[in-house]
Amino acid sequence: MKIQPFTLHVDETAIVDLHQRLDRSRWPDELDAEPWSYGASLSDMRRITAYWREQFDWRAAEADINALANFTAEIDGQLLHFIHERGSGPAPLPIIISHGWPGSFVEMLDLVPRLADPARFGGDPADAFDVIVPSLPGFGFSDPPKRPGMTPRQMAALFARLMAGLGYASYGVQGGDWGATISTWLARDVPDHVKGIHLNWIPGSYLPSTEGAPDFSPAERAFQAKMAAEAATGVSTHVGIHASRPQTLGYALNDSPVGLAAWLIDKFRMIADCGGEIETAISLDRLLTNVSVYWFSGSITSAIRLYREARPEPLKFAPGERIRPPLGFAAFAGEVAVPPREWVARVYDVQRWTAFAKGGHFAAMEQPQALAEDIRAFFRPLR
Amino acid sequence: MIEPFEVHIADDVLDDLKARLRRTRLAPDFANDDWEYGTNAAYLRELLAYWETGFDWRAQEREINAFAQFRTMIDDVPVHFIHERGRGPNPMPLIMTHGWPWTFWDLQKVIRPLADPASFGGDPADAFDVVVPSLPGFGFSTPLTVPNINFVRTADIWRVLMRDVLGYQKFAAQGGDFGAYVTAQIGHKYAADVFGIHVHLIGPLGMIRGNMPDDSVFAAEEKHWIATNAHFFAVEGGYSNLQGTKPQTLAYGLNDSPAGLAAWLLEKRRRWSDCGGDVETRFSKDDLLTNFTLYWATESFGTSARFYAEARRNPWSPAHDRRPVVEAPTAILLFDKDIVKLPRKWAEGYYNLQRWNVPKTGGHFVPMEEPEVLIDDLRAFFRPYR
Repeated sequence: MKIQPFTLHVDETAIVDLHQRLDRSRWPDELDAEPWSYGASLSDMRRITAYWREQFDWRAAEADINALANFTAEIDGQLLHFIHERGSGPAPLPIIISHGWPGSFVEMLDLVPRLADPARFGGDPADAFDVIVPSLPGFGFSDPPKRPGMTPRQMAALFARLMAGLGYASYGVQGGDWGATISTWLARDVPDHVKGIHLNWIPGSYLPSTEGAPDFSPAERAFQAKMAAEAATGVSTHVGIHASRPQTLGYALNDSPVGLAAWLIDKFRMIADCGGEIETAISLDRLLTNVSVYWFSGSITSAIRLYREARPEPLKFAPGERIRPPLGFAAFAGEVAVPPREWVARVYDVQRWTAFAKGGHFAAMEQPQALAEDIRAFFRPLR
Repeated sequence: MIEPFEVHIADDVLDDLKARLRRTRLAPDFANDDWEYGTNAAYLRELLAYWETGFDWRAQEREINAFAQFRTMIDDVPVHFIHERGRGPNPMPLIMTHGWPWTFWDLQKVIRPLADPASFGGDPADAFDVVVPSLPGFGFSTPLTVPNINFVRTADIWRVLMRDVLGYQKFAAQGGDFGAYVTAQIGHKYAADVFGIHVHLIGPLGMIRGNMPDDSVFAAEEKHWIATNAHFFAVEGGYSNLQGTKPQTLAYGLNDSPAGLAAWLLEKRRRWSDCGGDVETRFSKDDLLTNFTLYWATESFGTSARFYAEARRNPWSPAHDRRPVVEAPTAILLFDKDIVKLPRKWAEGYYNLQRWNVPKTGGHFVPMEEPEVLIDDLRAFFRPYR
């Protein structure tokens, strides 16, 4: 495995091109005054895009990213970008954190220092982690896969090899969204290397066996009904197109920055705990850093293809099958749907379950301090 | 008030289109020769290059303007339409409604033969006065500025167009795709005003998938449709869920990127036509690019996609509870290679079914793919009602 330091530097011509495209945006009409009722609102998109063009400072965002230690590694011809921030403490525990969609490694920018250097944030240096945050293959500055079949399970296998290559035999795993799926595959496929698994999302494809298992509780039934309703009413409409014909959608999003911004920000607004105003949960600078990473890396198409690759490989469990490493779950009240504990416990060994009153799907961006404290507390007895 | 209309896309719109095509940041693609991940980049690149450097929009525009076109406003909705008067002893008025991702121009091949059969080897007694509107929010029926306009409301608007604007007290109606729903709604709500209806797509007007007929209703020669229907809903239906819920989110990219718009529309042309994987066996590059340019230049993608959302948000409610639901005499021309096909036995209960014809070749875009079949079927069906 070949590891090289990585410094992000987007060419000035790409920034100029982005600005020119934003200036030339051909906006669609909007029919009525009810904002967001048929998708991303025109006035909000104009406002956010104006900020992107006029005020957002990509070079400052780049400096934030480069303030953390970035690397690339090549594993089996797959180039992976990752943050590797060494912990400041007596015995840092390695942890690999996987992001999802529509996020990227940018989601973790405020979480990484809180885990690597707890003392700087009022914590105990004994809780320090060596933090590894890869960009998923096809996302951001990891190359797109060269062949079909790069499923979350394959990504987990790559990440296991990355951790081994970095010299870590035993580590924690953490994730939400697709990162929760990948983390679960790590815990399932290489349990001897995983000290514990901390999640802030239970994957949508998670399916325990019902054979010989207790009947569903009322809470489990209500949760299943809620998930089905969300799928029918549009929270998940992006899944339908991503999982079937992602390439068809990708051409517009890779050619139009406002098209890309609308596609990503609509999703952020829907599932962040923001009451309809995304900036109350996530700063525009962080939001646009994430959008800009998709834009400058040209990775939206390869990223959304993940939904199609993943479809044949749901997290389905055999009767009696368990995930061995212990689970800590951070249940954020503003999440799309918080599963009942008994539903999760059908497969996972639930050791810690923390309910948070505030925060949504993007816990690492919305509530980095609360999430960091929960991760530290969960792993404390496992060190 | 009706105004004559000619298409003239401004030079600066065409120049801007070419400049955008030149600057296209084409998404990378791989392992997608069969288009399973969606539109194939190599073919798209070839098509975009021709759009930029070879395609002659002005030539297409001249062909469109060879038809008499008009615009009017009905209930605050702009309505553009071709009106081709029939040549024969007693032309029957006929309104033909297109679908998505079609435009009015998908009817280009059938208008003259239907209006003037004698010039195309037919009988002048079969002549129609042909009216081909653009659906509200599509093509030149723009800009659409009022909400809740779906296929149900369009049927009301079409009746006003035919009776009050054009003075046809009784008329014939024909359509495919969303146009078939408009047409069936006319046959349901305004059965007394029509001689009959002719459709090449069928389904319950409530459009609820749960209303789909049970597998046992499909006859032996229809059984293979069960699997193709299921495939369509499972694999090809993503666009419909998206356009039915968040058309505006999609519109930002497609109204700003001609490459993105082309990829979105092209995939449907290839996937839904009976083209065996080679879209150009059914549509020339000029056909495809004329369609894309119409969507692009009129900036109508957003409102065209919204037609799906308005269908969901304003669910159909019956105008009466009689059976069959569609009381107007009905001809169904169902192509075996179309995307969704329901069985004859179901259609017999839902429509006042008078004619049933299932050609073996031809897909979803009937008037472009199989114009002769459509023309013959229309003439034969309406002959006894003259």
